[in-house]
Order: sequence, then C-alpha cells, then structure tokens
Amino acid sequence: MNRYFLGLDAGSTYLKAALIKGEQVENTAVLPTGIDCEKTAESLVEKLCEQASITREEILVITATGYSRRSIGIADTTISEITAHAWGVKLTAPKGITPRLIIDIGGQDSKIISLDASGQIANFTMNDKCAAGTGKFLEVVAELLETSIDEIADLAAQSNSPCQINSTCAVFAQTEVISLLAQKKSRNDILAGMHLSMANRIAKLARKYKSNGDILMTGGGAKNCALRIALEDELLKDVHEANYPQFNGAIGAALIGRNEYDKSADGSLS
Amino acid sequence: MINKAIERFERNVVRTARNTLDELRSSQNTFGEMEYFYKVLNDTFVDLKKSTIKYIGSYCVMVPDEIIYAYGYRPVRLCAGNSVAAMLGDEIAPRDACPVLKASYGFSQMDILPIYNQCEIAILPMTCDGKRKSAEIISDYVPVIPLSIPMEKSEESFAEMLENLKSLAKTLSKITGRKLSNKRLVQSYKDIHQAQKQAFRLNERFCHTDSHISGSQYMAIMNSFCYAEPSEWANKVDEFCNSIDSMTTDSNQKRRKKARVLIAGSPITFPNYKVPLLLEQMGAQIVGDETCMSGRLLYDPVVPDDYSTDGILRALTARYVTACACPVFDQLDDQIYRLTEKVKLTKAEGIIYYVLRGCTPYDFELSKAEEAAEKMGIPLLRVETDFSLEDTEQVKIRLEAFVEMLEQRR
Amino acid sequence: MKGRKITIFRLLCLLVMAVIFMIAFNGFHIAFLIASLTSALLLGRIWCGYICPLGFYQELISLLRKKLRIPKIILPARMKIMLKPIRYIVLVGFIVGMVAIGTRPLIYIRPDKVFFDSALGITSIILLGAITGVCFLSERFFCRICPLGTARGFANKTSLAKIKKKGSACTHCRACLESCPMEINDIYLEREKENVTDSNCIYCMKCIEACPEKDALSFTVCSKTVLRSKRNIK
Repeated sequence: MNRYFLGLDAGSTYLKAALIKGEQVENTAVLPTGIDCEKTAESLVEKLCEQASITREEILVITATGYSRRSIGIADTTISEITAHAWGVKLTAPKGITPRLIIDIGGQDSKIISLDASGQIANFTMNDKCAAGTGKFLEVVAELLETSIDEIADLAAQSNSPCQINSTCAVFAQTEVISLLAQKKSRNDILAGMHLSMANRIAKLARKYKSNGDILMTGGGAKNCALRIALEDELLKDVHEANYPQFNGAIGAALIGRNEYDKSADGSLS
Repeated sequence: MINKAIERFERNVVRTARNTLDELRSSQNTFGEMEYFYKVLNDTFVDLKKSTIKYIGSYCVMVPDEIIYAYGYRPVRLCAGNSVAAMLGDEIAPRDACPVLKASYGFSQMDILPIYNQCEIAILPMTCDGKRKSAEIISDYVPVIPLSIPMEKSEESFAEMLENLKSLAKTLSKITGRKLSNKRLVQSYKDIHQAQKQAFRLNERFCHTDSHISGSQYMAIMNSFCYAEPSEWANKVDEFCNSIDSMTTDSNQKRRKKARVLIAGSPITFPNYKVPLLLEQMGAQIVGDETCMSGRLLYDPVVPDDYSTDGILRALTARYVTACACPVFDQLDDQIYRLTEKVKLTKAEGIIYYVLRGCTPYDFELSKAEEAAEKMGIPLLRVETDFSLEDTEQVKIRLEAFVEMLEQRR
Repeated sequence: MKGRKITIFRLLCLLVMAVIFMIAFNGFHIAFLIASLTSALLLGRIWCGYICPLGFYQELISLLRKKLRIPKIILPARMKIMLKPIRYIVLVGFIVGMVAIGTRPLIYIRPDKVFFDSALGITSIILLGAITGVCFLSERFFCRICPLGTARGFANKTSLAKIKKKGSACTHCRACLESCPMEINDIYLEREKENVTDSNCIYCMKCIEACPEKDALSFTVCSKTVLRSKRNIK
C-alpha cells in the first residue's frame, strides 16, 4: 500500500513542495510565494497530485514549515525549519554520506545544524538578521554585474585571481563592486571574490561545531558549486551537495508528517 | 516642551509594562492566588503609585537588604528591565553597555517612577565594568554610595568585604543621621529571613517534577519581592504555597508532558519577560530558573552564628557576597556546580542560556556552561538578545527549534 | 538539620558528665586518661564534644557571650597558622610534664574545683581569666591547643565516626565555617574529597545543623548515615 506524505516549505520568496512515497521523493514543485501563500500552497498541492496521478485524499499528512507556515490552512501540522532540514537529509543525503553538519543557504537566511551520531539535532545556529551569507547577497551582486544567479557559479569558476572583498553587508557590497569595476577588475574576479567572502562568513558560523562526520549543503545555495568549493577551502573538508537541495526543508517536513502519523497510529502520543 | 517628553515617555513605559502584565495574566495557570504579586508589579510600573515610603535603592544582588531595612528604609532593586527606558538610556550610555544599565539610566533621568524618585540613596556594588562606571552617571540624579566588592573568594576577601559593609553602615549613618541599632538589625534579619524561607518553599514546589507553577509565574512572584514590603510578600508567598499544596495533581497526567527547560544567564527583570513567555508559547515548561532577579534572588539563607551586630554582618557578608553565584567573580566553579545540581533536581532536558547583549561576565560563563551541559548530556541553547521586541521572530524560531529538538530526543 | 536539637542533646550530655565528675572525682586519676584516649581510638575526638567538662565550661561562657550579643574576636590569619606548631609544642610539654614532673591536670575533670577553689589562690584566678578570655576568640579556643585534644585528634582520620561532604551540593555559603567552634576551614573549602573529618573536629555537629543545602554535610558512624544537613523552613 503506497503511503503519500506532502511537505510544504513556505519561505519568504519561494514556496517549495515535495511529495514522498515510501522512501522515495515522488516529485517536487516550486512557485513564488506571492501575497496569498495559502492559494499558492493549494496550487502546488494540486500540481503534485496531478503529476503523481493521485487524489488529495490519498495524501495522509500535509506538513508545513518555513516562515509563513502558520498561515497555510491546508497543513495538518507545522514544524520549524531547523527540525525540517535536519530530517530532510535522511532522504536527500547522497549515497554513502552520513551528514553530521548541515549548511543550509536559503534565499534570506542561512542555518548551520549539527547532528549527533543518531541523526538528531545536537545544536544549531541561524543567521537571519542580515543578508550577508544568504542567497540575497549573491542575488544583489549578480544583478549589479548584469548577470543572473544561475550563471555566477560558472563565471566565478573561471577566475584565476579573485578580488579581496571587504564588506560582508549586501548593501555595502554594491558600493564595493562599483569601485572594483572602476579599477577595471574583471567580472569573474569580482564574482569569485564575492563567493570567497560569503564562504568565509558562513564558515565562521560552521566552525563552532567541530563535527567529525560529513558536511552536507542544502538550500538554493547548494547548487552553486563555486560557493561549495570556496566552503571546502575554508573548512578544509569535503562539502557535499544534497540531492534536491532546495526541497530539503519540504522533504523533511513530509518525513516529520509521516513520523507523527505513525506515532499517533500506534496510539502512543496525541 | 520637556514636560511633553516626560509625558510621552511615561505613556510608553506604562504601555510596555502593561502589555507584559496582561500577557502574564492571560498565559498563566489559574492555580494559586497571584493577584497580590500582579498588584505589586502593577502599582510600581503601570499605575506608578506615589506614596510616602522612603526607599534606599540598590543594584545587583550583593547589597544586604537587611542593613537598609535596619535603618528604617524600604529596600528596592533598581536594576531595570523596560525597553523604552533602555532606548532613552542609549543616549547616555556607551553603545555596548548592557540594557539593564541603559534602562536604569533612562528611569533615573526621567524621574517618573516612584521607586526611583522616592529613593533617597542608591547603593551601587562595584561589580562589572558597567556598574563601576555607573556610579558617576547615576550620582547626577541620586546620591550614590559605591560598595566595593572583592572579586576573589578568599579569607582575606571575606575580611575585606566585612569591613566594606561596616563602612557602608557608617556612611549610611552619616547620611541618614540614624544609627545601626543591634535590635533593629536582628529584627530585619528575622523579617527578611521569613521571606527567604518562603522563597525556598516556593522554589521547592516550582522545581518539583509535577509542578503546577509555570516559569513566568514563578519569575513574576520572585521579581515582585524587589518592589514589595518583605514581610507582606513573605505572607503572601506562604498563602500561595499552601494553596498549591491543596491542589490535586490529576490534571497533568493525561496530556503529553511538555519539554522541561531550565533558564540560566543574565537577569530577567520585569517587564523584560520576552524569552520566558516565548518559551512557554512554544510549548516548553520552564522547570528551573538560575537567573539573579528571580530564581537566585532569595535562594541562600542568612545563617548567623550569634546575634551580635558583628555576627549578623558576618552572616550577611557570607550570604550576599561569598555565596553569590554571579559570574562577575574570578572563579566560576560555584555557578557550574549549582547549574549541574539544578538540572539534576528538576530533571531538565535542556538549558536556555540567556545573555544580554553587552553582558560580558555571562558571555564568559557561557562556554563553561556549555561544557557542563555536554557532560550532563543535555543540549544548551544560547539566546543573545536585548530588551527590544524587534528580534522576537528570530528568538521565536530558535526557541521553537530547540523545544522540537528536546521533544524529539525523548 | 534538626533545628538546634543536636546541640541541646550534646549540652545535656556535657551537663550530665560534668555532674557525674563532680560527684565521683575529687582528684586526677590515671584511669580518666586511659578512658579518654581509648574512646579516641574508636570515635576520635568525641570525648571533647560530649564529655569533657572543660569543654562544657567553654561552651557555657560562649553561650553567655552570644546571649549578650558580644561579638567574637577574629584571629588574624598569620596567628591562625601558628596554632599548628603551638599545638604540638604544648603536647610535647604536657607529656614531659606528666612523665618527668608529675603534672596531674585536675582542670580536665574538675574545672570548677580549679577555678573556684580559694585554696589555689592567684593561680586559679589566672586560669579562670585565661580560659574565659579565650572564649571570646572562638567558642572552643582552648581545645585548639589542648594537648589531650591534639592526641585524640590523631585518631580522627581513622575514626569510625566521620563527617562527610558532598562537594557538588555545596554552595560555599560559609554557614558551616561560621558556626564551627574549632574554625575548621576544610569543611567550607573542600570540593573533591568526601571525608572532611579534620584533626580538630570535636563532632559538635554545628556545621550540619547550620548547612542549608540538602545532604551537603552528613555524619556517619561505621559508614551508616546518622545525620544529614537540610534546610530549616519551619
């Protein structure tokens, strides 16, 4: 009997959804959150059901996480992003990798989650007060350099002498970019420098948790291999990219929904 | 022009206090009679009730209330917790000073709170850097007696501190024109000892594994001691404990047990109850409190060997300074032992370590506390914040994740 | 802590023993010396706390001082350190005195006779004054240099009666040290060791009575706990 569980990650910019069946991720979908996240959530659920050729009723639990999780009426239960991400890696970790440290680079925040030997959260840190170290930082810089966030990784990889970037603030970084351009620095070098600066900032948080296991990157930022390599240089260890990195939160939420369902089916806890 | 500023300040201060008080009332259990304690906080911070009570204010927890009481004045704690006052104090204090000082400056300057403007003298222990430097600033508004506190806990320091208390008494005699009579000192020792006894009874019931008392409730009761009349407070706590004892315990059994959390760290003063209220909102139960303005406020008893003035002063020195668990002292062993014992006693599953921005001593203690938590095998979360409500969302998400973490570890 | 019950019980013991001595003995007997030293082999300085009439006299004077709310005089730290060698010198002197000169200290059995017997004249007044005077220093100041006490004290380490401390429960509130008639620092300072029976300890239990922390201090006999410290909230 196939059991379907759905997770929604309601971020401030994008709403991500993931449908899991058994131990597999069936499919995923993403839409900009917009002003009516309830409606966006509905359409995502519909879309996923259509793709999987199932009805709404076949989904046993819908779990919401993320910033606007409490405003999603269709969710049966909610969970914080930290817990969701810690659970998500149970499915999204690449084969052979047992994650002990999760580095999540989201659009507007970044999280470092340290896991213990049994995969439970041991400790965590969040940077949600300023844009430095988040996707926003790179977005701002990409726009200024007339490129897109999807292309900057490749461009940065081509650089041989990255610039030294001093500002970590996304707003002041703009000023610095302009002055670097005026010094005739190449776009690739500037982008490479930006990645290094961001990796430096994230690594400062990550170093607090001396992990003796694998480091896994999730979130939109994980797809940026220039960032990943820069982090490896900072932390002096391999940094792996999770499968479905953007949907790690949604997948984790779905898994938690399944866990709660199984627990209550046992009659142990309400 | 100046009056309008004071008016606006008063309105904002009162509104902040009232909001917290309303939240306290609505979020807490209806067990036990809390009205008296709410009234104390209300009269002091919302209604700003004027009276003819003569106060001698003190900062921190190292100034013996008994001495103040023996001189015929009501002791009151001036360490403030109001975010509006802190914003005002920002103009006087350096940017990195802790918000408790800023709020105290704000209140001192604006002169609207009766407990500040009815204060004849303020006694300021020279503990952390901020407090040392505050003596000059606060003396612009009220006569300040600095009290030197040796930062070591050796025999010589004990003798030194005893001498400091004796000179404090001499200075008070000079300023107030009254003498420190042995009879009155013994009587105030006995009165405040009653309060300490009742506080211990309350603490027993709070730390009990099946407690009905919520953390914010406990904090409000203990905090109100700073502004209440000690004997009256002791009686009310006695009544409260008795009413708790007569409650039945079946209501808690069937519901899922909440995550048990201990709060430690920088002082949590009314109305700065952001963190405990948020924690309870997120579904945790605060089972222990190791902060100086509530849990630690009346914990240690004064144990005099004899009732001579010297004997009582020795006992006061021992209790208020030697036994003090503030991390401002040189060695941090005592604090860590107490934290460990408290965790064992309350069967806490996690520790929230609360650090006020700019509070260096607690920041230094944090790493030792983390080590101790690791040894005990429980997680510790550091929450660094100040009095403002701007970072409520950020604090909330961290507390929520922490509570979820505790529930999943079971 | 059972209020002040232990102290009351102990003072009663001392009173009863003082009366018995007053009735039974008029002079110094060697049996007394043997008895007191034998008791030490088993239970250390228990004689000092529960039987010695000179100790009883000191406690009575101290009680009077406390009732009159006269403060005690604190010995400066340097002088306190000198007490240890002084104890041993006095012990040696005492042994020499007993063996070579034939000193028979009646004061240990009948202090009342020594102090108030007009036959002894100026000596008794001096002794009375000296003993009464030292009681303003600490409650049992004489006991800190008493040669018989020092001799018994050697057995404290192996005594069946022990004062135990649970270091993790101690809050360093100093209540024990302040109440200790022998001013034993280790009771207050020790954090690691469990057995804190100092060679000066007379088992008066005042530390256990004063300690406000549950189980921080306890009194054990043959490893069975007889008394524990706890907070008094009556």
